[in-house]
Amino acid sequence: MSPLTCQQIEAQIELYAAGACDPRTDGAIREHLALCPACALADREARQLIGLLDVRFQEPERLERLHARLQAESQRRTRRWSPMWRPVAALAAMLLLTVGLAWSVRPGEVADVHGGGELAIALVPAMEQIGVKEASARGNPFGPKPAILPGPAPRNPFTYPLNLHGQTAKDFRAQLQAAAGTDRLPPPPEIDLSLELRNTTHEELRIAPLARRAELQLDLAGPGAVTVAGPASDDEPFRPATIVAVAPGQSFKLPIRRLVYGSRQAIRRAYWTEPGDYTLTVRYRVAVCPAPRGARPAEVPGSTAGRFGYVMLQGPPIKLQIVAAAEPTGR
Amino acid sequence: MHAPPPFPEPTPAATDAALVARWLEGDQAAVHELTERYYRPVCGFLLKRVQRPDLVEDLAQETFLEAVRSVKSLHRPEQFASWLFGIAHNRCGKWLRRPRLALFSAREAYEQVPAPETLSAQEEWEEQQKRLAALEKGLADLPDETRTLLDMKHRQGKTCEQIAQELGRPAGTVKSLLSRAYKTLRVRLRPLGDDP
Repeated sequence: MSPLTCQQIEAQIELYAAGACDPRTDGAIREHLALCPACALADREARQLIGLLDVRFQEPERLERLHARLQAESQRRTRRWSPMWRPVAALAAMLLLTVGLAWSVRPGEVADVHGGGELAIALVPAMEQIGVKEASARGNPFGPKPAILPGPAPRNPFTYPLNLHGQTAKDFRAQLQAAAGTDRLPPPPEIDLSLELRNTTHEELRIAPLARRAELQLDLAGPGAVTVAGPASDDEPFRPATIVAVAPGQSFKLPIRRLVYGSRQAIRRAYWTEPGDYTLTVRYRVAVCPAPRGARPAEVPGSTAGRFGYVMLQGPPIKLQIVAAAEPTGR
Repeated sequence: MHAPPPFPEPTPAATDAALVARWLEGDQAAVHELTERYYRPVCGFLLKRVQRPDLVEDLAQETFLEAVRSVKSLHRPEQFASWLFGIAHNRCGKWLRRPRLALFSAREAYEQVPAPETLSAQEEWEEQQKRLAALEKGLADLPDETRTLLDMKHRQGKTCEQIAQELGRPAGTVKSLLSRAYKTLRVRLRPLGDDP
């Protein structure tokens, strides 16, 4: 698609902000906005309008959810010390999932809020059950692996090599900027992690990673962290099975092989462009059944029973060490 | 069609104070009344600050939740609006100070630049009142058919294609009508003298 002019952008900017453009137009507008401050300002204005319209038209439903949450909070505060109200406290704990609150879960651990059960999230090494050294000694029991440092197995499983594809860091960043949103982007860094969702409730939970508003976010922060819009075809985060049942005490693991994330409407890629210490934080908006009270309802294709609702989960940041190294040999 | 109620007229601060007094006595109806009165202005403020429509509902819930937790510390109930906007301001600050990405794409670039904090909480409240009133007026001036489209898009969450199929009209017509309505409303929301 040929580049759009400012007049063409202005004509469609509200539809773009409302997510009503076709993918090709969407990509072309996104490219233009990255380079045009005037149109970016129009985009902000349009997004303000779309956001206000969402608030205005969805107000009854949103207020209903807000009131349910405030009531649960009120009950929790009133009855938190009484053992007979523990089930209510557990329900209040479930409601916390709806607002994206972070709780302290270290990789491989689960949270236990107010003595109740919940769905916990953490990024964990893909080989966490065995450990890097053992995995190395056994060859590769987990199938194709992303590139990890050649030579002796590193002690820290979150160590990855810097790969600038033969360019300087500055040139590499310029390339990322120029190719944002297109298929010309270099492949994003490979990683070897799993997103673990652990069910600590006393009932089976069903998870629908493919629901329409599902969104995976991988916030990479560090000395050379760069995030750009990915090509629309880059739908890797949304390929897992439609509905997954997770029994009490069990986990669902979603492999995270590359730094690709986002929603169906907006795919993003993250890159590291300098060696050093980085952090990676995961946020995941996913549809869960039974829906916690107050959760936004989710339409899940193929669901025949039970109501799904969206929950926003956020894991703790994990540390990544990016080291300058020769091009990995791969495994 | 379930049309949301029009935006409430500004109310005297004394009424807020009376509702807060009932709230402190455990009257949940007073809590509901205050949340309904301030929900849209708080959301408008949050939207202005974080520029992310998808975050507004969560941040608004956190704002009101914090209000419930700390209402006993509200020493001047007649200034409830300012106090509530202060909480919303703090929630935004917390979100804006979160660990950041280095971004190149314009879609996120503006997230890195918080709006200048030149307005007091009371002024923010007044500004949001004006914006929401302007939006209501703009919506009232639109044809019924266009308001129906907006309801299907923004309340029912339908795509333009789904709307077109339901109404038996071309998708291009639906998009064109929506685009025209958006442009009209966008102009309405601009402060006076702030023409492009």
